Amino acid sequence: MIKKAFLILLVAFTGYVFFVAASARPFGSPRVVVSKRYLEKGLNETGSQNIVTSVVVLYRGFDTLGEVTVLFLAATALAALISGFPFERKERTEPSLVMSTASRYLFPLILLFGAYIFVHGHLTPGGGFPGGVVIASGFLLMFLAFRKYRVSEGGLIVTEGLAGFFYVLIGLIGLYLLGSFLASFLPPGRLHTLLSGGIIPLIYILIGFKVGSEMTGILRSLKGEDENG
Amino acid sequence: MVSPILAIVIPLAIAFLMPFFSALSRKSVKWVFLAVIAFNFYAAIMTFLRVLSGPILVVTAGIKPPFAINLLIGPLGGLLFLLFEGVAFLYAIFLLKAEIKEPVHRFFMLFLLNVAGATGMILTGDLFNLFVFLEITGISAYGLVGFKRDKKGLEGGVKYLILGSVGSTLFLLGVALLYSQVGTLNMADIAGRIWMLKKPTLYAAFIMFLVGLGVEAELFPMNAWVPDAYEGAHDTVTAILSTVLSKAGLYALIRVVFTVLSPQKAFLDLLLWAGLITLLLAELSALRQKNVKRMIAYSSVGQMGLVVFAFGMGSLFALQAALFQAVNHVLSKGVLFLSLAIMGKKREGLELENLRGIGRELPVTGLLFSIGALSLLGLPFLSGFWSKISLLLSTADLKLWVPLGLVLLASIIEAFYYLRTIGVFYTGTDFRFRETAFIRLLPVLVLVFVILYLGFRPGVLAPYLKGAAKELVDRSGYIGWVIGGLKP
Repeated sequence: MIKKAFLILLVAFTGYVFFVAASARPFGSPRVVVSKRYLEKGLNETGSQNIVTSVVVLYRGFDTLGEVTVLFLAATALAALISGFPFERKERTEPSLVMSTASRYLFPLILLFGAYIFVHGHLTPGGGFPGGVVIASGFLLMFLAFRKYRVSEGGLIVTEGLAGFFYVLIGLIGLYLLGSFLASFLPPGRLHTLLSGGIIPLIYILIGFKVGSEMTGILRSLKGEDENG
Repeated sequence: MVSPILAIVIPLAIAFLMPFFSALSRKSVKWVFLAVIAFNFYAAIMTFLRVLSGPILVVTAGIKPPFAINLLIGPLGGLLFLLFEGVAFLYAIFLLKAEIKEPVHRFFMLFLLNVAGATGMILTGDLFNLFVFLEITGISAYGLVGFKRDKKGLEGGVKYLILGSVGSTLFLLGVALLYSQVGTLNMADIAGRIWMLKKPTLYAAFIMFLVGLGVEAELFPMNAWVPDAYEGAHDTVTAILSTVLSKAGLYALIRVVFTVLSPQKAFLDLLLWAGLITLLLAELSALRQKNVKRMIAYSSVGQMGLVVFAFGMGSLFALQAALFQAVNHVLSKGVLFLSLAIMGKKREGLELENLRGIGRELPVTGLLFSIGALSLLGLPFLSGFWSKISLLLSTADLKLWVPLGLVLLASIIEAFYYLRTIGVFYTGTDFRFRETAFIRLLPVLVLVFVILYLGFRPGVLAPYLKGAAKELVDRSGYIGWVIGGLKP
């Protein structure tokens, strides 16, 4: 009873706080310096047509490196945990012919689409994270369509390890050339074209590979194919 | 000149490459780990020396704050940086001879990311970046605690995972609340605009930060994970949790309260009493423990409570005492957990009964353990004495008689169970001299040397503590460093 009353009080207090906060700055009210500057100067400063991308990869690029690390940690921890639990494997039925035939044709298209998304991260909505997840979804389709479909663990580890390493390396080149970690050492290029945005496309391609291989790795360990191949 | 940011990104890069090193040679992993931590230690020393002549602003992406993320290392950050990388380096040496369950490279990878995350937490000048590093530190710590995959380790790991995730979510909510009001994530920039917040919002943000960071800072009642995680984890992992991780959480809490939110009287009072309650409950629980590692885990919580209590007093003198106490806690707990690890190798289990006479079997280790414990208790001419006495004096200075009495009571309880433990170590007639390898004793010896040195020359640390405490009190100074165009 006391517990319930306490809970209701807590919810009411939280609601009140968010009401106060929301009424102090209504949605859509003009923003202060930081976001205004991104909108006004972002394009010329970074060469990226997609302002969200320039925030993610340059202005707050250090956070993104951290988030990539968090994903890496989560995937590693999941793999370690799953390998500790022996799961009962049920007999699975073979997927239908329609499923497997369609998947065979869709798979390369999905990979291509994922690559398109992360290569064009500085021009159109999307980028390394969604692109990588699209690629992983292609592998998910293959896992579902073919019982015997295998992805080599070594390949995934090499891809994610190297992608992460090169991400840091690009940051370090910026530190070496321009005195600041993750500084864009490439020219902004011709605005609104594929070759623009300085180091942004490079980083997003690496993130695409990294996220793609990590998510595929997560799916692979959830599928549980380690024991007898 | 080494940029302090390298101490964060080099460990990240090497952690990504750990599988490659492991494939080259399984033995190389721990040496690579040691090399990276040694580099971090070097970077910390260089940074510490540079901070003496003024704070360091490090910008990322070549764009000045508050538009991009920056690191800011003032006297406080410099001191903690040196302390963290120093003890991590000693642990890395200790780990050279440790038995670690497969896959070894994963253990060192997690450890490396843990150190990098804690380093990021104390160096960053951006609130959201702090959250990211809190996540890196936290997730790697869950993995490390559960690494043994035995029952105790998994129990501790899962408890910590649940509490830690709730904690970091609350922290994130607090950040979102602040961001919705001031439109910036830079800590100095928020600090300069904190007047824009209505009172209920400010208080709610404080509560979210207190509860969220209280998990890592081991405040009651968010510290339920501590005893199980400490007991179940690998010894060196326990040591890093107790020394580096808890201090990183504490730093984040203190930085947010003192610099970002501005230290309101109500906030400080809450910290003071949260610290006191944590201290008392932890010491009372420690008294009842039969397992020595668990007992020291509770004592660790108690010490964190004591430090938070001292921060809650808020005076410059009290802040210095709190920082000094935190430094001493790191030194003492490093000694205690490492020497306990050495003892654990010789006996089955760490129950107090099993450790009877261990001080005669391992005379050096026993002596080092005793010095570490006595310093924690505040025996004169050990480092812990000076911090405890200045802590008590600053309590008396503010005429907080009831808290003063409670702190003394807790100290007596603490003295009782530590002396009881040391007593058991030296009873029994079973005398077989079997001291451990020197390389494992070396890190403990270094820590004890620092304790003794600071015990005889406590003044050495005083200017740094004073600078760090001033940094906390002087908000406008901090804001000026970041926004006012300190040359990066």
